[in-house]
Amino acid sequence: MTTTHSKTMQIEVQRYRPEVDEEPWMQLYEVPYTDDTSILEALQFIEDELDPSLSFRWSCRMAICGSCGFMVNGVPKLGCNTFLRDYSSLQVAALANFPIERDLVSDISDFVAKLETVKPYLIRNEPSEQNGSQPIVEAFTQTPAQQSRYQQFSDCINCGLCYAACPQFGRNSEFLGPAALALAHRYNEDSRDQGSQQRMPFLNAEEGVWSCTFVGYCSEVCPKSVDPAAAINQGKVASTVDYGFNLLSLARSKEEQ
Amino acid sequence: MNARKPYSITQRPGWWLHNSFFFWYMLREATSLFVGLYCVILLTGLYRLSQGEIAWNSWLTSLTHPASIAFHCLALMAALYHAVTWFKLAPKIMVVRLGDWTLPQKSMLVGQWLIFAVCSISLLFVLLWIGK
Repeated sequence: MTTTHSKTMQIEVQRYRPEVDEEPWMQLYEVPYTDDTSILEALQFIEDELDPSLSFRWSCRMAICGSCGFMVNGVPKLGCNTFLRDYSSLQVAALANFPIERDLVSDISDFVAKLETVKPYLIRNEPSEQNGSQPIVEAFTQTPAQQSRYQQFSDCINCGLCYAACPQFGRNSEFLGPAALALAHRYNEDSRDQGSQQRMPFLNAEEGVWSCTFVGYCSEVCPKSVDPAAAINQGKVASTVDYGFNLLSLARSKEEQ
Repeated sequence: MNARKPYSITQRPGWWLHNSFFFWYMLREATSLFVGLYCVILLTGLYRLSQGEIAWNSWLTSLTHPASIAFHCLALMAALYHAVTWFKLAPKIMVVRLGDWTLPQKSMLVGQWLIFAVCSISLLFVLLWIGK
C-alpha cells in the first residue's frame, strides 16, 4: 500500500540515552504527515525510517492501553489520539513528573505501586457462613443507579497523564496522586464493596486526599473523562465524615471506661 | 552492572507561568491574600470603633484614600473571581442524591448563582433601608 504524503512537519523529540547522556536534549526530525497521522505514527515513522535508536512505549493505538502518554508541547497527551494536523510546531517529551528511563520512556513503577496501595478490588467483610473460608461464589447484584455512582471513575486506563499534569505530585512524589485516589473512590462507591474502612487510612493520610489543592488539571487532560479531581475531592468529604465518626467512637469508648 | 540511570527533573520555581491553566489556578489561590487583607481592614475598623468616635471617624476617612479605594476594587474583583471558580468546583465535590436521582451539576451551578443573587440583592435592600 502506498500513501502519498503531501506535507511534512518538523518535530522536536526529547532524547535521553542513559549510557551517554547526562541530561535530556531535543533532536529535530522531519516527518511527512496526512490529516490522520497521529503523534504515535509520527514517532513510529522516525523509528522505522530515520532513527531506529528512538525509544518510546506504545501498544494498542486506540486510547485503551494507556501506554503512549507524552508531553506534547508541554501538555500531557496520548500519542495515539493526538494528531499532527492540530499543530503547527511540535515538541514531544517524556511525561512530566516521572523519572525518564530512556528517550520518551518514563519510569512509572512508583505510579503502579501507588495504584496497588489503595486495594483496588472488591473487598467483602466475611466469607458467607456456608462457604467458610472458601472463595466467594455468590453473585452480588447491582442496580444501574448503584453502578452509575462509580462508573465514570472506573474508566481509568492508567495512562499516567494526570500525574504528569499534577503540580502537587511534581512537588512531592509521596502524594498518592489522582489516578490512585480516583481508583480508591471508585471502589468505595461500589455497592458490592465493603472495604472502604481498609482504604480510608490511605485517603486520610497527608499523602492522601489532603495533598490535593484542586488544581483540576488532571481532569482537564484525562483522555477518558474520568474526572479524578472530582473523585479526590469527594474523597475529602468521605475523609471528613470518617474523621467525625472516629471522634464520636473515641468519645463513646472513653465514656464507657 | 546496573545500566539504569533514570533522570529526574525537579519542579522549577516558575512552573505555573508556562501553562495558562496553572496561571489561573495560582491567581485563584492568590485571591485569598486580598480577602485576608480585607478582613484585617474590617477588624481594624471594629477595633477603632471600640476606641471611640474620633478613632472611628479617622478610620472612615482613611477608607476614602485613593489607595484604599483601589485596594477595595481589587479585593472585590478577587472575591468575585474566587466565587466564580468556587461555584464551578462545588458541584464536583458535593454530589446531591435523592434515592436514585442525582442533581445535575449544571442545575447546582445555576442554583448557587441564584442564591448568590438573591442574597446580594436582599443585603443591598437592607443596607439602603438602613441608610434612609
